[in-house]
Amino acid sequence: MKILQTKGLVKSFGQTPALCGATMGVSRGEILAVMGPSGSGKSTLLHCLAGILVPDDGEVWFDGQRLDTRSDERRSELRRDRFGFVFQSGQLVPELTVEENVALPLLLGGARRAPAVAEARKWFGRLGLDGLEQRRSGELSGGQAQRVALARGLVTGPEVLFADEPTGSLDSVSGEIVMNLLTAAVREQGTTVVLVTHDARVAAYANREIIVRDGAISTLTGVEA
Amino acid sequence: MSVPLTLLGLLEREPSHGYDLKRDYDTYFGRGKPLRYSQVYATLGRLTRDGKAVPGPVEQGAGPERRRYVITDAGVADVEEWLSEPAQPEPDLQSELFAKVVLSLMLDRAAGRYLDIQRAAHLQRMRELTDLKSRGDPLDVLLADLALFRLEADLRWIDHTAVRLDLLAKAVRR
Amino acid sequence: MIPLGLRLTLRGGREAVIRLVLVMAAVGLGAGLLLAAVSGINAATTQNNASAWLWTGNADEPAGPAAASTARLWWHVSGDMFRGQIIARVDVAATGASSPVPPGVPHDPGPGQYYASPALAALLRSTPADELAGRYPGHLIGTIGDTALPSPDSLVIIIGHAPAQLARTSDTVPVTAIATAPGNGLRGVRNPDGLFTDPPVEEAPASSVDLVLSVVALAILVPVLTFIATATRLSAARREQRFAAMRLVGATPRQVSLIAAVESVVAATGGVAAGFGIFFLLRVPLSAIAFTGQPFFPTQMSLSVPDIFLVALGIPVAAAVAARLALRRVQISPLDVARRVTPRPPKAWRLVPLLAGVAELGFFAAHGRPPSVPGQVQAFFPGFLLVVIGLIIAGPWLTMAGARFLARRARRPGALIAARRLADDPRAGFRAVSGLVLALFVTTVAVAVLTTSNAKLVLSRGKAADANVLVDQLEQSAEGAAGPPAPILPATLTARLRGIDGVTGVVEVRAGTGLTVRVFGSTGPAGLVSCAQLASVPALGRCPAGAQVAAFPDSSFVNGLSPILFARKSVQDITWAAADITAQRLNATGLDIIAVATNGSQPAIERARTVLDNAYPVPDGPQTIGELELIAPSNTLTNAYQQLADVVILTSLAIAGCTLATSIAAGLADRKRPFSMLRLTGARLATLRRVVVLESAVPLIAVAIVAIGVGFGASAMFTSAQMQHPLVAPGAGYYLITAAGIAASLAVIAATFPLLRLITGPEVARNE
Repeated sequence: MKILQTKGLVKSFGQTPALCGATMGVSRGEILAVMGPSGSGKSTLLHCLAGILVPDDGEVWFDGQRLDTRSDERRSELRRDRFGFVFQSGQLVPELTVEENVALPLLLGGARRAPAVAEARKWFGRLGLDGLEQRRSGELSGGQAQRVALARGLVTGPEVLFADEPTGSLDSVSGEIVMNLLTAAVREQGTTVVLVTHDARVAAYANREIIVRDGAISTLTGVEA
Repeated sequence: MSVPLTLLGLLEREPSHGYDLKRDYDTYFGRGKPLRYSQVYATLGRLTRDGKAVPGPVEQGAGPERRRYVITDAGVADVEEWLSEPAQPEPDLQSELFAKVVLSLMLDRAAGRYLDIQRAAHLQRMRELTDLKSRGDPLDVLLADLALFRLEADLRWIDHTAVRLDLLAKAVRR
Repeated sequence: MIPLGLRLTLRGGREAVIRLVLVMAAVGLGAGLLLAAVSGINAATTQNNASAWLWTGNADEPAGPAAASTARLWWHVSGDMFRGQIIARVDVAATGASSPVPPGVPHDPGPGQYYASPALAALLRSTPADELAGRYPGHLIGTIGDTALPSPDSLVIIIGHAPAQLARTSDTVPVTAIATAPGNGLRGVRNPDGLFTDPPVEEAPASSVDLVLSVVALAILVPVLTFIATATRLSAARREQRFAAMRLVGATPRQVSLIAAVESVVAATGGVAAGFGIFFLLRVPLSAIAFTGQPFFPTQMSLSVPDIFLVALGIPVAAAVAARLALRRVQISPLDVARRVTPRPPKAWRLVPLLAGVAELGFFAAHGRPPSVPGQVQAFFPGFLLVVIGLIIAGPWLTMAGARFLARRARRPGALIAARRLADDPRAGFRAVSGLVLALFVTTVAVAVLTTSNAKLVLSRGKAADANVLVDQLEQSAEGAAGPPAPILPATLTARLRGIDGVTGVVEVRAGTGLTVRVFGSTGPAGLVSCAQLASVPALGRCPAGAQVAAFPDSSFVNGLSPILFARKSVQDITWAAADITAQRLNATGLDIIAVATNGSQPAIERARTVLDNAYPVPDGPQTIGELELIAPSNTLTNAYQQLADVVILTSLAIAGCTLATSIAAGLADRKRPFSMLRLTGARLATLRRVVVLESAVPLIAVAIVAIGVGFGASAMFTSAQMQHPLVAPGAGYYLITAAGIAASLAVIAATFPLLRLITGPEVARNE
């Protein structure tokens, strides 16, 4: 059984249709690349999979249960406890230090500050963030910020990591570092990854890719949807 | 770059003289590097020997060897197979990609589908190379990166072209 | 969660700290003004109660609790004037050691002793005896304590006498307890100062004050609330981005609104603390302003414990509630929406409340005001309220209309950018200047109404000569019944009066002839005047040629008042009818009124008054006609309103200026990158400056024109309906203040120019 599944997703923003019947699935433990031209709806697909957006029509299943029919509170809790996120930019809270940012999902889950930060610190060495604990996000370079976001995405030991153009604003070397760290970490934990990207070399880190075109998954005979 | 298959493809479009074949090849595929007549006729000879094309009757007119060559069913099958399968992803197959796309458009095949298939093949190769990088020594990594960047460039061209197929089709079909 | 919220609030970097400080300042201003208003109400009550003891002995009012064994205290209250100020004079005579003692003094003064209020004591020291001290038998033995005085400026004197002597004086009552509650002084007869009030033909001050205070409260409240709202919106985009990031990572909407509430409560709590500080700073200056006609003691401006708790707890709670409500409307999405959604344009219906308010006032202007005073309040208050609210509601639409007009005519890029941005979000553009607009409206109305009110009085009493005539009505008793036989004016007294430097004439009105006279449409009992004397006081009219004695309205003409005192019209041009009585018989009839004409100099008036006071101690001392005007409730009320209006105008202008500055700064901060890009690609700083100016100036001017126009219109309708007088154009002061207000706004806008240069420097456009 797939860990994530969609059936006939439809989503529009005002007059603009983003998804028109997207059906796809993600197997447990795989890294799936979601590619397609810009405006094709791949980010919208990711948002629906993660419970950030509720589709206008269709179904989203996570771990055998319907996701899109749950309340905003439940979906928020799911994002906090069982999902992780690495987006392209603008995801760190400027007022918090780096270690507080990494610990944020734990804090939101009700953990006390000290144990949450201690848990967060475990990721610093692995991701080359030593020494940056007390900095603010505005003081970090792009690559450092993305590694902080990655640490935050992994701190709760999530079942699924959602990444949307994680290296989009990085140069090729920094991007490679981030992708290497990401794949190493998820391979260790068996985390499923949904990776939206237009960059083929980033998609090459995945096990499989799907192409989203005009709001639907384009299929090739012989290629599993 | 497979010259025989390209010439076969042109033959499928219409039976042609060797002279016409060379002219068309140079126009579409030989930019900057025209075929020699000898190569054309040598290729045609080989194709005839392998049963992919047959020479028609000699025609009256000035000049030597004015025969139209016609493609055989076997030749058509070869072209079909060649166009519907991806080229092996290697660093230097631009001309082959180009030929396949243009011929598909000429022969009214599903060019978009071909591009999808090629893309999937490229991505698969890139996956293999990326995997190699995590295990290889620095020289291997350097080589792999070289291939990866080239393949990426191909993919960008594929994406770019996929959007403009209609326009290209009009330009290519007469 | 709350500690997280606190950390987010307090550690946001320089931008967040600035925002926090501004919101605290705004809340502090609001809280401080609120506290000042509350303490002002408390002070008015305290001030009123402080004069309760002067009501002792008033037959209609029950005295305080009495003990059977208390000795009686003879009590006589009368009123006097000095240089236009009322002196409350209390003559007491204690019959025993247990006689009640008035507040503020250690014991009842004995014969030949008196206590005076500090203000009066200072006057006694500084003026010549024959102008003031000569009225009081005895010498000063101490000052009256503050608890017994309504105001630091109060002039009160408690004079001791021998019981036997005081008991014989008319209008003296024996009391066994000092009154503790003030009475209602507006029964048309007597207030405790002993002076007559006007018969209640004008608006009763109490309800009018409600009307005015309500409008004032709104005029101050709206700018403060707008300031708070503007300050809260600072760096709103950044805060939304931060909340979006948290929502992405799994914060529930409830958690987010809790954190927002924490932010608001922190700001509100700091603001309230600042508000208390501001209140204590404002207390002393505010107490000096005579809102009720007399200044307060600063200690009177007190806050009760419930007041303090209400403000100290109420404001943070209100802030928390407001934050939760605000966030409920805006669903923070986990996706930071980078695309700007253009808000819907304001519709034309927004003009409806404004037009409705104007129509309502117009209705009453056409049909006349309701007869009763509460009815008038009900009539005009909704009208003005609608107009004020209508201005606020119609503002965005007017801004949009102005912006579209500008967009059509714009040639230069600066104007085009400004017009498009305004037309895009007119609400924000109007919010920056809404405080100013309200201030202009309030200023216009206040000045127009007050100017008209003053003009009305001046027109009716334009003769300076009247002002200088000192009038002493002798035929008075508490119930208006006939008193003891009227005295004859001794020749020595006349001579003494005439001998005062500055006295130009003396007229005696004799009474009790059974004659009547018709004046100003009313007929009433008449006394007699000698034409020879009348000739020396032209302000009181003239005799027909050849007459020796004329009929002149006496002191009981209407409600116990002579028309020369109450009718508020000059009798200067009236020719009185001749009376067929000889001059000798005249001198044999009783004296009713003494009128002394002076040249207006203070020493002359006061000396004459002293002489008259000593000769005829009556409950209401001699007043000049000008002074009566001065102390008429409607006049003191006008002055009080003037003071109030000044404070309101200045305050709301200041707050509005702060709002404008904050709004512009916020707008600049939001557009750092686009403006930097514009500069980099060749736009000149001057163009950007023009954008900033036009963005603020267009809404300001568009709505200011409407506000001032509506202000004049509403005032015209109010004055013609309520005061039955056409609107009088305000003097230069109004135009000065309005121009100054608008100029100050433009100055505030200009003051942000250096900021513009700073934040659009090239380093901002660098890719982060």
